[in-house]
Amino acid sequence: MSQSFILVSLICCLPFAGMLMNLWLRKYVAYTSTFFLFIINILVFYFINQHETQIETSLIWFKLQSFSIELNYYINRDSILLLPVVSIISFLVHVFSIGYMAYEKSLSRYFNGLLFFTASMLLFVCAGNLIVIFLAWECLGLASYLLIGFYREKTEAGFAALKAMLLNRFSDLLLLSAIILMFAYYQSFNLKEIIDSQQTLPQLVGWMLLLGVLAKSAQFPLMNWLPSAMTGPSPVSALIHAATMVIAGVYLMIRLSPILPLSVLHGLTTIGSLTALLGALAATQQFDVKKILAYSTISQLGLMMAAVGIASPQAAMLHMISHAFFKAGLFLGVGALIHHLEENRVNKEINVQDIRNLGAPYKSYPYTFYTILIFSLALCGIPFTSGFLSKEYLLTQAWNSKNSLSIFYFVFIILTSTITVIYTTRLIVYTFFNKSKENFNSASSEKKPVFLFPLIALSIASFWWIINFNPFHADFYFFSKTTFTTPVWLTIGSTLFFPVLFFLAFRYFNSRDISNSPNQLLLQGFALDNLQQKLFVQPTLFIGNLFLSIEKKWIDGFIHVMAFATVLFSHIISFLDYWLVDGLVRMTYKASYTLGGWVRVSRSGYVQHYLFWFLFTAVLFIIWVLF
Amino acid sequence: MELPLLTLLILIPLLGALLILLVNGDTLFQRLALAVGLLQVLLFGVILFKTSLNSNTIYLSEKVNWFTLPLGKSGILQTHYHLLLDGLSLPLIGMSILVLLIATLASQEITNKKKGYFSLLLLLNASIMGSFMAQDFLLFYLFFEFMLLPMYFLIGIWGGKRREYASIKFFLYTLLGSLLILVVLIALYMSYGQGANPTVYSFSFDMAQQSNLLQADALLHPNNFSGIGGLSLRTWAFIFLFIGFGIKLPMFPFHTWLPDAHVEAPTPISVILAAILLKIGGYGLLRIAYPVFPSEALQLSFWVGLVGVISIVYGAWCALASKDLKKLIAYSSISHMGFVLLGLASAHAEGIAGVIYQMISHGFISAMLFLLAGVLYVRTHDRKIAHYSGLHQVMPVYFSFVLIAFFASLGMPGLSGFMAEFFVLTGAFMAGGSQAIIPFVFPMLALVGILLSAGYYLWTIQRMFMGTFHTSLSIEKSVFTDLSSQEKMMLVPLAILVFVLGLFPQVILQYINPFIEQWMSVVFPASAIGL
Repeated sequence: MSQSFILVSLICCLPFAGMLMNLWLRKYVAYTSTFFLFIINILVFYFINQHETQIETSLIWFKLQSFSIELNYYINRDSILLLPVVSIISFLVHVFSIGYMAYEKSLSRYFNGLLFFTASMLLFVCAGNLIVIFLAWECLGLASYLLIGFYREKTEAGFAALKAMLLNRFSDLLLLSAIILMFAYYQSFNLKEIIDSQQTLPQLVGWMLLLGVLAKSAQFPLMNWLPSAMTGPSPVSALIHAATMVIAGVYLMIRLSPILPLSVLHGLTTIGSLTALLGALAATQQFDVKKILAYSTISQLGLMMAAVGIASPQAAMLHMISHAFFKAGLFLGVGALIHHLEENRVNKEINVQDIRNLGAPYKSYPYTFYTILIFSLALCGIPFTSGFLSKEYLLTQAWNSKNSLSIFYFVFIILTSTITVIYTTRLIVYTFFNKSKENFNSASSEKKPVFLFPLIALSIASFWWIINFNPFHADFYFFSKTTFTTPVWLTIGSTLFFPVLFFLAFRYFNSRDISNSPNQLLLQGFALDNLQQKLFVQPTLFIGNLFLSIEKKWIDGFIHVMAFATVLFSHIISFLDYWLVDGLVRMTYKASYTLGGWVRVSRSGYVQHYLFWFLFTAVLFIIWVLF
Repeated sequence: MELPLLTLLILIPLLGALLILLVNGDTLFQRLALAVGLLQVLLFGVILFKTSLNSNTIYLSEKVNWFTLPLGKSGILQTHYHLLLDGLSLPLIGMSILVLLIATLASQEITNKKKGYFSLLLLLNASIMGSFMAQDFLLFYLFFEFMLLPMYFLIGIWGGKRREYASIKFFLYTLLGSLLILVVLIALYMSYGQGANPTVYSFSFDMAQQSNLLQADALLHPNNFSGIGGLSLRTWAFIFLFIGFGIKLPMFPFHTWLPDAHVEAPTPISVILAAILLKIGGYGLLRIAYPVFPSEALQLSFWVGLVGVISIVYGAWCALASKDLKKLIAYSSISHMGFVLLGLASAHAEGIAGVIYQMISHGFISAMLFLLAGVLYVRTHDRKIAHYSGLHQVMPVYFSFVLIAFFASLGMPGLSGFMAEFFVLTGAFMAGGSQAIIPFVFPMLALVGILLSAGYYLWTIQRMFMGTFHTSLSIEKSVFTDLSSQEKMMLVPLAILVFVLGLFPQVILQYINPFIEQWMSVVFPASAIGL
């Protein structure tokens, strides 16, 4: 067994050790979990530094007639990039949770959920067998289900979890069948063998695969679970529903992109672009801070998915990484703000997530404000941020690509980015610069290091240097030096366009109060909830009731009629038996009885009668003899 | 002298039943039944140890002549007392022993007529052991039929309000199935004979699989073209067996006895019914119907698969609409047993492995589900889902077990249910490929069933467990106590097994694999399915 194999296995298994420790050290779950994440980070960086990407070792998990499923890892550049992103953000979220969840009950459930999630995500990033990948994929869904429904007392949290799970389950089952069909096609579940075979997938399987990743990555039309998933705790939203789990679908597509057929790639671009635009549009009309961010995540995920579609998985990867940091930062920042405001609100009725109630003077929460500002600028794609570089890279790839849909995609990126700037400034302005509404006291607990450290760390990771030394050239350190050139007009254009737009939007929102009459269609997220309810949920329930009544009326009814008929028949038989069969017997008996009666008359006991019969018979005899 | 281990497995519960009839003492009965269960576990341990030394596909076998009947000119009838343990019966026996022990533990709730209850339970135990091991058709039929008797009384006497209706329905349905099987049993023994002067007829399964032993003028000879309704007699024989065992499974449309029997039966009997008795249907198909009539089975694969898929989808939909927790679980059983038929129809090794795996896995999962339903019923005497909400607040540990059981049943990877369904689906998709034994749409429909299972389980969690605590029954909150240590004792081993089977399938596959290899070579050799 190679050292790397053991190392990766250790990384994936350590969270479980953490969960065991939590059983033992019940009081310190927050600290033990964070400690374990710290160790995982060390191991991850040690592993990355080794640069050993070929892990040939594999363990046989189980064997069946024609196949054996082995536990192996398929480490390539993408997994090397994503591994530290997952472990770092998970660690920061753990640190943040120490403060954020400090007063919550059932802490061990919370931290065990986070650890379980981290383990599944790390396994998902590294695993090299489709069945193991599917296992990890489902575990991600389970962790998400449990954590969305963390506040079990809230009915809507339960429903959000239910919705998330069901939509994901729908996709997952298609993914499972795609995996099985891939096995039928390639005769292997091994990812490396499949990709090395360089055979393109059959169309049908490709499309099943595409449908299989839609829900997890919150793509249209299966995206509506993500906004309602925001009922979970904010750090969970940061880790699972912004930075890591939702990119699983994109990541899987990146991994499989060499074998995807062209039509599926086109499908990815179309669905991704559409999702990007729709998500951004919906974000402009939301009032709930976290829902704005959720729709923003949907929109950015759409951009990544579409990038895979124009055969530029590198661009998708780059945007995924930069987005992971600043979006996790945004969620943590907003979470921190919610936490502080909840402590300082003047009465308990105020919903601190509604931007119509906000208007916290930014000077009271300087750290939170400035970090959120940095993340927002990155989201908008303002120069000197990581978001600028990754978006520029997306644009360049779309421009340079020879794909027939790339121009269409190029336009969608620009549209989406424009709307992104608009909703982000709206969020910033109404959260921090609104005329003070006297909803909150100014006392603050924001200087706690458990809040500050993750925010500052993530904001450091939101600048250009995590991508390239040159803040205007999107050539990622880790990409092989391919020859690509960004058109000069594109660099200059985006450098000027986004800041100007940001400035204008800021002026616009700052000068007017928030509109209280939003577009209902956008507010409801294109009424996907209603649509799914009407198209799928209600008919399903109707069919269920129909089947039950068929069962009662027809199947059981038939049985009962049969039973009744049998009983009736047996009554008829018994009637016939009494009158016909038994009747005959009784008739015989009665006849002989009557006959006997007649005969019995002769035995009367009088001598005269006997004498008479004697003489009578004798006379008869004589007559018979004589004649 | 070597101990007849397999016979002991049957004999111990029989002696136990006898002993219970002889002794007196109210608490003694359950203890005796538990002792029998523990002895069986011990015995099974010994058997496992012995099989680990044995590399054959047949681990243990016991065979003696039972009785001989001269049939005049045509030959003699020779019957055997033949028990056998192979890769199919070993996991099923192991599962049954464990579930029976747990059901005995759960019988705490029985308070009246204990003597009768526990002796009947042990009788049932013995006949279950017998039917999973018998290798002679007559012996199998004897055990198979004998199961009906204790089950009828166990439901009819210790059941709920509509117990008479449920028990009679159960009895009549199963009897109908048994009669169909009996017809085939007789036809089979008349068709296969060995040697000449005298020809030896028997009920042995081995003989019925050897086509060269078919008597030339036999009813079931493939060259016998006299048929009914355009189908040959062999096809009819397969159909009879299929329906006979299908009723037990149960399959659509012969399933309606199951929800009634489950709802009325006391918890431990529900557990045994769902976990073990249903499996005898699948076992019968695997052991008798398919090996004896392989080509007919292959011809009818489409119909077998169709019935399976309808059961999956129909059962799931009925479960979704059920308002009674136990009824929901009963319908989910129908849905999950549909996978047995789908796997069989696939005629692929993966599918067959899935069938066996599903039977074992469903044994543990359904036992857990019915125990959990029983936990609530014992406390409140009400099973309506709508009457509860927010139970997580008062019974958190109970909720954790419910989560494990529900997620195992809805096919979460890492738990046993997924492995079984994955194998079946793999087989079914492969069969839907180039050879087109069953259409491609069957596994897709099965997926709809799995999706629906997620729907009804998660919705049940949402309705009963999430939110703030509330009950529409006029019951004190203090009634809702969390699991007692005894209830945990029953649930924990099942939960562990569900995890073990989900994470380390090799535990069972090491027994199943050689069996399937041998089974496939006999029933569906590569040439038969066009590979």
